[in-house]
Amino acid sequence: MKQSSLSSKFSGVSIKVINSLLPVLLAFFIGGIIIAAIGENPLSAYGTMIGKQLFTAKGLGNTLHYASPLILTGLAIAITFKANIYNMGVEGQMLLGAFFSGIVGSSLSTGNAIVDKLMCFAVGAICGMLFALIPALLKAFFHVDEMVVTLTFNYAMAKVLEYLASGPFRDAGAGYVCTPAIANSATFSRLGKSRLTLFFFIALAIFLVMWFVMKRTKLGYQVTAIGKNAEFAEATGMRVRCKIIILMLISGALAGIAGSGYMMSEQFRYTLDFSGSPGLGWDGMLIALLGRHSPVGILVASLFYSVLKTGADTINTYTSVPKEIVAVIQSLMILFLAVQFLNERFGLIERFKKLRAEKKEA
Amino acid sequence: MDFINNLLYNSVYNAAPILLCVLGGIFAYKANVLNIALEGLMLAGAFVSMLVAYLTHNLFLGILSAIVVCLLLGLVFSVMSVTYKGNVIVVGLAINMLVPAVADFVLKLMKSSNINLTWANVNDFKINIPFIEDIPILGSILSGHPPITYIAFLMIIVMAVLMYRTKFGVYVRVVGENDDAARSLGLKSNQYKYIAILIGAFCCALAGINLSMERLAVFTNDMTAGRGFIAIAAIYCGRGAPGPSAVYAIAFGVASALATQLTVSAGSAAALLDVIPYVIMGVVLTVVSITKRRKVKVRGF
Amino acid sequence: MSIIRTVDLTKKFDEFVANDHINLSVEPQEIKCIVGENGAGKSTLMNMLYGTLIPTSGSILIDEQPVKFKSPIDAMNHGIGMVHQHFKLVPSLTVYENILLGTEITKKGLPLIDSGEEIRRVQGIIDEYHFQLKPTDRVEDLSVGQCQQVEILKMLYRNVRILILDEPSAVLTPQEVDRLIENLKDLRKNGKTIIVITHKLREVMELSDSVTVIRQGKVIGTVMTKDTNEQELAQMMVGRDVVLTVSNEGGMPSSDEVAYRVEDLHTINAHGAEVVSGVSFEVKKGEVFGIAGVEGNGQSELVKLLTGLMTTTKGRVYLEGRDITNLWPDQLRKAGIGIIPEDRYGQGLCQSMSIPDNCIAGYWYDKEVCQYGVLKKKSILQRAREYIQKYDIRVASEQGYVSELSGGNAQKIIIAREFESHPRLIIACQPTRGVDVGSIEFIHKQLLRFRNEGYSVLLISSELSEIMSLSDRVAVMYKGKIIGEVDPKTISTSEIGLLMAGATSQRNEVPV
Repeated sequence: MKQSSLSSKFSGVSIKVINSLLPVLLAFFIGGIIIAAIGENPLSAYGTMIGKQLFTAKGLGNTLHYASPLILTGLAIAITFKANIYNMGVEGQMLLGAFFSGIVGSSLSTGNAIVDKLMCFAVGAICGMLFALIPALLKAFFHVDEMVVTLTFNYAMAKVLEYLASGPFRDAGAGYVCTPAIANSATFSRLGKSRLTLFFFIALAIFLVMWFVMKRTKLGYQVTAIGKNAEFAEATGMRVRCKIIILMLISGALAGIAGSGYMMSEQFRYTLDFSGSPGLGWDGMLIALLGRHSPVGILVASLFYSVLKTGADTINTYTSVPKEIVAVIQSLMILFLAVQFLNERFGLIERFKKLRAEKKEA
Repeated sequence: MDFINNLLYNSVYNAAPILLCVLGGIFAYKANVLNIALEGLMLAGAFVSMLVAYLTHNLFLGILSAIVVCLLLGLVFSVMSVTYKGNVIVVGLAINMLVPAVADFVLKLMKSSNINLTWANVNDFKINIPFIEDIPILGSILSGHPPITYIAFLMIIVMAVLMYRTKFGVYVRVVGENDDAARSLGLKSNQYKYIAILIGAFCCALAGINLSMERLAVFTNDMTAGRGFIAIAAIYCGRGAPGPSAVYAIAFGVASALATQLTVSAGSAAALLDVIPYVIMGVVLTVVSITKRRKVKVRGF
Repeated sequence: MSIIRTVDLTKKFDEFVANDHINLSVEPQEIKCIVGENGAGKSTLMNMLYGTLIPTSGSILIDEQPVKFKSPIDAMNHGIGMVHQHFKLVPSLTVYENILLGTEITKKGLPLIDSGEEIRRVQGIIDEYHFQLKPTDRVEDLSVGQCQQVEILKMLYRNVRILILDEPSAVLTPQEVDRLIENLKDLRKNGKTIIVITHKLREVMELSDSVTVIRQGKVIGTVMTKDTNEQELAQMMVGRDVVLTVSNEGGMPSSDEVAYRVEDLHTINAHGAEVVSGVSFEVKKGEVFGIAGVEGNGQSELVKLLTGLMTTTKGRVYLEGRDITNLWPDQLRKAGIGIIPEDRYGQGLCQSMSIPDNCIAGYWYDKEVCQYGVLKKKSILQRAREYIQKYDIRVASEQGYVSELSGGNAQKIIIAREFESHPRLIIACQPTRGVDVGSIEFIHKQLLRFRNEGYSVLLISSELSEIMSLSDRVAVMYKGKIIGEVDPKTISTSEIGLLMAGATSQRNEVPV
């Protein structure tokens, strides 16, 4: 048992931080090599990229603004990861939520600013939940691998929305494929010079609620237990099947709200590149990995990530480095985040598991 | 008649890259490594072949370097997921994101939105089989396709033999189904997983070359358009068996040919045909799972 | 001359000694049975002989030559083959493919497998040893007995001289067991040496030439089969060194009122085989009802059924007249059943969660710790403190992880949690497995105190002495059925041992 106490102490906060920082540094390092290869100074390029976003009022506002949907998609993925469920469909759920809140925001507007926004959020959340419900039910009742289903359904959803946006819901007046713009009463107006809107504070509030749910409620407790030991969870009566469905619904709702919020605060209409490349759902995936599934980690990670995203434009304007470098760095980060560096290096967890397995055999 | 001829020709045309991805992907599937990087690998094949061919004016060099790059990416995938036991999905996703990001980056540096081999004529690549090309229907299926399309269909047989008639094929299946059994007999299971992944990378490279170079001599960054995921759906539907998986791949190819063909008459609704593969996959997975777990009385996951 | 011999073979896992100076010797062409209860160290010993585990000290000699095995491959090269309890077969491959796995025959000059030749060879070896298999059948379509034959053939094809079988009859039907015994005797005739690990005494008597009994990692004795009988072996197997200090003598007599009733319970495993077939019993108020039996006779599944982890195919369960069949674990706890599960760290506790978190597991309906879905951290901590004090749980830190506790202290958390929620029935499964002597006594006392307060206990354990000293009535389970009910005060250990081994005894049987 000595082994276990050692590893549990060792795999504390510091390991988590190092495991998150190392991939980031590695990705930036490789990115730096690329920047140097095209004849720019990587340090000054990174400096302009990050400095402008954090140390000017406008930059900071923009950073917070773009972090808003990311907080939500990050949370959406992280809570399922925590229970060892893999909702890889956040992108699709987010898009569906955004699409229909956009439709509702443009066609069913009441003119009342609060009612409209609430309505859009509700539609977004419901759409996200409905789309998440399919893999959730398949998983809970038939044990169908939710990873494959959610992952591939994103592409199906993209096709469906492409059809809806270019067919029945197309804005006939626009020169490109998009849906009509939402009514003014459904849009969040900017606070001050930056792009920051009320949506950020809504996202923050949702974040706090989720933080409370995960830390202080029965549901949070049970989710943690399911992730750590599903057999224990079932044996103590947590109804894992039910919890999987609830969790997927929450995840879908968060994704949907992220979509409708982004719709109301930034895009105002659904276009084929609504979510950018890579989409907000995929960004959320990186944020969940980077934040190691802990709420505070996710908040920090989404801010950091937003700096990267908005910094991309700065790097484009102030240096000759194409902003696409940021996407390269981002995907490298995901690649390195897939591996837990420290545990592998010292092999602590592996060794411990082996010991346990041997003991069981005896 | 034209409609049918076009449809048949396009079905073969559309099925080829999906088929290649499927035939490459089934080995990883059988080895129990979920390779979702098919899309990214295919894009890498498309991109690198065109970039190198563009820069060197040499098609052969383009093809060769595309294969090398894809194998390298496959190696990265293997190292991260097999040796270092990283989350396979995350690694695959990272590769799926990395490739278009790099392609975008390079395209920006080239100050262009695509790579176009103006000096190459795609019609030169097409193989017209004398006599057969004049037979109605059969001619549109069998004749006038670029070489890799033919290779793709020949690969069905090659891969079936490799999977079922060679030691390697047996071992890959053993490793995926019962790693313990493989180890207990001294088989190096990681080695077989590596090779399985690399076969996938190789096939994806061919699929990519097929998409960009030999069909259009043009590369755009969104040209794989989810074909890698349709391939995954086909693999899951066929449960990794070369024959059935290939049949699903061809069927999904027909669906997408139909989608393109019907756009003229049915408008954008035809795009919904692209959803079919995923729906079928969902149904197949559910049915398989239900029959498998019929007798399980234990609660829990 | 022994064909295989071990000298002071020892295996330690941390402080735990699984095998303690084992001296074993097997003669050529004999069938040797190694018997002992679960956890006695039989599997550890075999895994060392087969190279899966590396000994801490001591040596293995084959033909009197010392050998060192780093992996099963080494063992196989020395002519040792093993048939595991969990088969190492590939279901989607055919019989011949499984047998030839790793040694495929290819066509001359081609990398292609010559399946015709392979089938011929496998058919040859099947005929040679009189097995009943078709080489081209898929393993997934075979019965368990046939799978085992494939495993044995796999080893024979590799020309092993010594065949080790780990619990070979555990998963077989009686007919299949007979067939297996025949096959093994055939093999001995063909010059093979066979080592069988088992705890089924009837088979030992039918099959073996000599028997070695292992208990708590030590060799208790080796006897020739012809010089012994089942009774003697049973005694050697179940005899205990630990003197149990607690017994239910002198407690209140149990009432006649039925607290818990199980009627004709059935269920199947994932292969569709019936593992619990028609179990019925009653537990009265103020009574400890014990279920004894050699492990693997359906007790695990029965407990899973009764604790809501498995669903029935037939039958009903009543608690004080209320139908509680197939309820979920949380509903059962709410209905008044305390559950001490079989697998402490699998089902009872979550090692990587804190002690307070584990103290409330299963009892969130309690408004004192959780209201409106919100956990009351303070009162949870308070509760953990109470438990720690009242049940004398030794912890380094009140909020530490369960993984930091010893087995006994971890078990006490479960005991505290389940008893303190005031159930009317406790289902205790292997409550003292892997627990120190002090904690054993403590746990036994708790169970009896509970009984003496007029509540009921259903005790399932493979520790015979525990069942015997605590229970008011004992039922014995064999092959998914209750084959007899006995009065622990009048029956002897050897008699119940026999019953556990499947021999139905007429004497001492109490009418139900």
